[in-house]
Amino acid sequence: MSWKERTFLLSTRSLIVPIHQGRGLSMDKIIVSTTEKVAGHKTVATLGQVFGVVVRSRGLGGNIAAGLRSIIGGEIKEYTALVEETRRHAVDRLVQNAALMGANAVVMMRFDSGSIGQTMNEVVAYGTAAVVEPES
Amino acid sequence: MLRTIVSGVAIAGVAFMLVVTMQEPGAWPALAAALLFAMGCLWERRYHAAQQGFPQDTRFNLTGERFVDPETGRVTSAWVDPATGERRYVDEGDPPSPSA
Repeated sequence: MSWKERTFLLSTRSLIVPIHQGRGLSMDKIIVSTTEKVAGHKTVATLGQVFGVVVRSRGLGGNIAAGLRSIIGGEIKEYTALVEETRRHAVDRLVQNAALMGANAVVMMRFDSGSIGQTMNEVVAYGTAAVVEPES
Repeated sequence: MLRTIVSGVAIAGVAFMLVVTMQEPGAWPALAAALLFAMGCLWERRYHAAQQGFPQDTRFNLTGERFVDPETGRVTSAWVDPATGERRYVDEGDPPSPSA
């Protein structure tokens, strides 16, 4: 990428936030929706894909406790807590990245998950960053 | 509970290896391994747990997202700062009982 293209991209990225905030849009929260359209709102700009990626693992104690718990079966609470923490972390990153792009909504949000090694949990939250405004 | 037992066993292992090392200094690598194991059991980096009380900072708005935290069994709500996208989780107490 040439310096001219890079300068153009950087300048347009820095313009997105002031432009949309200056239009008096509803910016009191960032709506995260799994649907294509946000009810009662119309999409006025699609800013592009946005991601929140995280890989987490329990510590040695948590993994040993989970291994012992799996002997008798049932819910493995240590790993339930791990997946819940990973989900929150991924959504937090997704919303932070959406705010960075100047969006006030993330539409078509989805989760994808996988495992790395035997104890690491990977979660990707992704969607489309958008600017929405209430329908009059 | 189970994790506390595992941590207790790890600490007992360190104490045992400490006694052994005092009598036989050549056993220090086993003591080092026991210490490493105990540290792994005792310290764990967790993602931020829910806070007690609502954020005093007016930057934060309620997102409407509420769920029962599977670890604590308590109702948790998510708050967001729309300017930065920073989110916080607030502990709202026990969920309503089914009979209520």
